[in-house]
Amino acid sequence: MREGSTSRREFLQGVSALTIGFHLTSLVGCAVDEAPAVARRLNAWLRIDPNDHVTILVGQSEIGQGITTALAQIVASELGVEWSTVSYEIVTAAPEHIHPLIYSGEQITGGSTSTMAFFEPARRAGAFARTLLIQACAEKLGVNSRELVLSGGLVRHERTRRSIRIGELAATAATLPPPAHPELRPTSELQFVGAAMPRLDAPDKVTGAAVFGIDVTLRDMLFAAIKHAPVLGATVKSIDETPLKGMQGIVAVVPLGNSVAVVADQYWRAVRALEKLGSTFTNSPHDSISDADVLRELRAAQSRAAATGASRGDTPATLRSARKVHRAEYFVPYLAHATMEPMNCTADVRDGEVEIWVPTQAPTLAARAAAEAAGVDLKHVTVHVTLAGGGFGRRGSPDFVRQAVAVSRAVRRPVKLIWSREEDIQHDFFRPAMLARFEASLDATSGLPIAWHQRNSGPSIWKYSRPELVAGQLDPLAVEGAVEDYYAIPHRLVDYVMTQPDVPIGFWRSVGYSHNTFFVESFIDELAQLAGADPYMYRRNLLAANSPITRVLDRVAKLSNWDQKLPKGQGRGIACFHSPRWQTPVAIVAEVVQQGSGFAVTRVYCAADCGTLVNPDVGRAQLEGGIIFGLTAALHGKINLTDGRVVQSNFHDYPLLNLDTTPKIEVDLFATGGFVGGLGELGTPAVAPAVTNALFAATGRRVRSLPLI
Amino acid sequence: MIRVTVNERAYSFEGEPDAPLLWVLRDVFGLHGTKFGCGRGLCGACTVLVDGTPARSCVLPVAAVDGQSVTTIEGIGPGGLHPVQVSWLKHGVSQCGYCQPGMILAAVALLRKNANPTEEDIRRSITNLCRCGSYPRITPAITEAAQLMQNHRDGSS
Repeated sequence: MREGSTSRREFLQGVSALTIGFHLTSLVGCAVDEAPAVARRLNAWLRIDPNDHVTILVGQSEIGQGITTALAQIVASELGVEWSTVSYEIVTAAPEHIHPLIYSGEQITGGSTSTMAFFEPARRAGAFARTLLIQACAEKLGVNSRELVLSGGLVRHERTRRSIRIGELAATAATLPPPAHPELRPTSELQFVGAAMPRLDAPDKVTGAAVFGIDVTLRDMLFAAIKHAPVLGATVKSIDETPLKGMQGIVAVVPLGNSVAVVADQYWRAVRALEKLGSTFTNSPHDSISDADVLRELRAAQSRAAATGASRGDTPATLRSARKVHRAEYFVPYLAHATMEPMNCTADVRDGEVEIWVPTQAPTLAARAAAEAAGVDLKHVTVHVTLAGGGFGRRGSPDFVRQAVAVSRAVRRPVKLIWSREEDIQHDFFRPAMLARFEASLDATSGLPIAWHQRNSGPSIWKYSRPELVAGQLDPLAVEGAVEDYYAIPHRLVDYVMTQPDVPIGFWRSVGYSHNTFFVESFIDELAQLAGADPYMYRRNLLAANSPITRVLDRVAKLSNWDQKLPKGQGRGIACFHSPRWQTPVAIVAEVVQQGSGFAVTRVYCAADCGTLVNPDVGRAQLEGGIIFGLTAALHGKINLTDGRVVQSNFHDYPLLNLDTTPKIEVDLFATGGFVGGLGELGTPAVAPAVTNALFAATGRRVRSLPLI
Repeated sequence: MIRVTVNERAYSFEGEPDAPLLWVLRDVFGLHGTKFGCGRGLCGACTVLVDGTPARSCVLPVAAVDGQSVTTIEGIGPGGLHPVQVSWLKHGVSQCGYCQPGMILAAVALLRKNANPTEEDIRRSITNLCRCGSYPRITPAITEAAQLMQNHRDGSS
């Protein structure tokens, strides 16, 4: 695909005079004709203007996690510039921005991996540019480059007290041969790494100048509203356009297989026409599915052949010969993402060229989807990645891209497709429903588990979206959070039975951990209760020696005053986990107060060790946000099915926590060094079990299915 | 013909009187700061001020503001940032930022009515939804904004 970016220049084409004023607010001190036409790109990661302004080019999407600021902090630290001279831009079509850790050959943002994937490349990019600038200065001053230092945007020659601004050096630097081994600064001298630098995207976000996908405006642009077939597997059967006669501004009705779009000159006109449109849909095998069927199938699957996720010792034999086996069944429902900005994409398909503006988490997937939908070769596609009003895993799927491209192709004009909130909730790629059955036997003396079997049953995300990635019947995403080996249990078996999805499924913040941490940390708590042990110490004693979890467990116990007795009707619950792919161990304590026949969560405490912390404030915000995301799901999150259709449709029946219903959250985020751990999803998995464990402590009631309310 | 003042500038609209104000602001007047979140007045992302009172523009027909004065996020800080915006930046409130224009308008409206809100006042008044979970920072940000505005009035800043 061809290179795209979030550069204001691209948006200015075709934008009316009214909007030029506020689109420029982020080009600090630059008038339109000074826009970086003479800026020098030194590598795939940065561009320097003659006035010393540095634009950091990143390939990761800004979905609220602050990655564009974090990566800029790293590059700017190696480079040696003032923070006030730095801005960011999201670019595409650069091999340097292909994700080295997840997927293969994709530019993609997900899995809480952006910082860990690009920490070293960002450093090298900054060092590379610094080396070129120093070399350019050495040549200008006629001195040895070893006598030069770049800091504060100036290359200085101490001996003769001469200095040159990087803005004056960039043009020359861009012509020099690439340095073979640019030297990194000592890690302790990375000026901005570890500092709570203000986010680069924050000013535009508080003034309303920030351009999200839904805000993109092009000359000649039309608007499209869309309605999907209500049931998975159904397609459009017939369309009756007669009710649209006489309606103002309607341009076209475009059938899209399993959905139909109405195109108009204004969005509200497209929405109203869509409401009036007569459309019928075919039947589907999922037509009669309801919640009871979902649960029945997950239970029935438990007795079918299972694929092994992890195995040690001989669990079946140990359980068979055990004096007492403790059993429990856990269930979690399908969940929607409900990003605040609904799904949308703007596409311009003309003369064999395709240009899209989209809040995507996966530009390369979006590009391929656009190419297919337009019937063109990838080299005719340009992707511009906009800011996204939340992602949480939803915006990797390019379904809305395909739709926008198909509609633009049909009407031969630029089209901005916006999903309604109802379509956004009902036609999501949901977090899979999952059932878990546990069996465990305890050591008579220690009370610790000696045999543990967890069997999950539920649909497979990889099987649904990328079947070639599923070897046999095991989807690693279904068992992550269950297979990890941090509890030293001698006989352990984790297995999984794959079922068919009832609705489209996909990646939801923390993916497999979103259910498995709830399952594991609830069941461990049940065993602690059986053993008459303190839940914190029970886990601590069960953890393998040198487990990274111990330090966060201890810190959250301290933070929450775990040992301090609470009055009757109040309780604390604890939960923890450590993922080898995220590397950040997390422990959470929740406090619950009984209220009549109900309860309230009054406090959440979190301790996490992310190894290397680029921006402490952004990191803490991610944990706060992840906790609230997980708490919302634990208390209220559910997607019900009736006759194959999703019941929930808007925030009245898919409620979110608000300011009043969110408890006080205290986060102890620290970094012990040695690794770069993830943060974006890390606040979510342990909240639900901490709350259900606290509920047990407060009320004696053990809850094994979500949501709680 | 509907005539409305938005951010102290006169606009006119000749389309359907029941066109939602939100979309007229965004796509006819070109003011994209006000956001679409739900279309049912449930999330507050579309909050604007109508003659100083907060309103959810996605469920407000444009005819309802004929002859009135509307303030959007683009207009709360003429000649610089409003103290609420300053405080929002200081407290690092925005994550994805999509809900924040509505959140900020709700905060501005609260502070116009109640110059010294308690934490309880804030919790009861700010009902906007944020999916990213910025709530923990909103209460201290509003409290500090109230202080900044008090300082302005006292002439001490």
